[in-house]
Amino acid sequence: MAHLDETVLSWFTAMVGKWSVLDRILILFANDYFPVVAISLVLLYLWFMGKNPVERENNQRALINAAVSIGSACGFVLAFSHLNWHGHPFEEAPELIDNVNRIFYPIHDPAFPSNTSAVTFAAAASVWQRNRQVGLLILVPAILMPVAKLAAAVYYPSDVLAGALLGIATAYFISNLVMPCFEPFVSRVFIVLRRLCLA
Amino acid sequence: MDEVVTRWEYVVFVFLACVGVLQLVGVRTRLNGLLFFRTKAVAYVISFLALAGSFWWFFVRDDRWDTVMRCTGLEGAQQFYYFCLAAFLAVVFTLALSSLLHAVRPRLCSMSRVPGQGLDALRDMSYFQAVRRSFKSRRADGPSG
Repeated sequence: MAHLDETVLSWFTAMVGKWSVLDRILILFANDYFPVVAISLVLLYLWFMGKNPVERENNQRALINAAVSIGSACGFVLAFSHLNWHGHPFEEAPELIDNVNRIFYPIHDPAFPSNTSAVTFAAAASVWQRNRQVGLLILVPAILMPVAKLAAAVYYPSDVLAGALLGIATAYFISNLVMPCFEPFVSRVFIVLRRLCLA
Repeated sequence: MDEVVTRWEYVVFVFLACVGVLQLVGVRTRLNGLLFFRTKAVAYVISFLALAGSFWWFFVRDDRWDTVMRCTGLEGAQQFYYFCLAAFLAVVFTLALSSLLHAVRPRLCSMSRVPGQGLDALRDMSYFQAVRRSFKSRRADGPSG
């Protein structure tokens, strides 16, 4: 398993330093700001989007589910990272530090599971359940961000995969089991927001 | 020490980007009460300038792509806090400015159809008008418990 992880990682790390355009794209998607802000702006758009009030409320509920799922995914990542800790690829193979310095920076958070994958996939899966098109749109940065971090040798493929699965599972858990329990509260919030012409 | 992203840069970037998104969604979904200018082309230009300008200013100027963007800056929790703050300020700014501009140049309230409820009211009137109408109708309905 560890051998497979290293083999797949080497495919991604080999992309770095060959084409400056590709390096720049990887820098953009690996950095802490671009994918996260892009996803958040799509979620802001989603709040106002919809041809009629029913469609708009569906989108707004998708945003609420995504926000709760993202927060929960962060908590789950923290819990899991205490159970199974291993180093980042650049810590275990120091020759990969050049990749890190070209694309990203050496992070010190626990590697397993990947926090960024969990968060971005939680957002995409939450929205996907209520709005397929926007869910797919969010899936683009959700996939490219971990790919860029693999190329930067910040995570192993198993970290990214575990983070993505955790994010998707969290989104389904929150949307289908947790949020229905809070339905009366959420409905009241919508009544107040509608009165304030914000929903 | 390497230069890093400051919280003020991040707040300004998110604020401008959110204003651009609100103009874009206003013109795309015909929520005219969100728009600074009702002309479609002008609204698209404003949203493009706000979005493209904010991303260029934050990521590209002064070769930040090669320097600042490869350093740590704000942690996840800080990013979340400052994003919420900037997005909230952008919504307040957009609703206030669009309402003021509509008050100066009243072009909404066509009343060609029954105004919608909630956000839908912004199709026909400014935000301030919509809130005033919402609370007036509540008073007219009486206490509903």
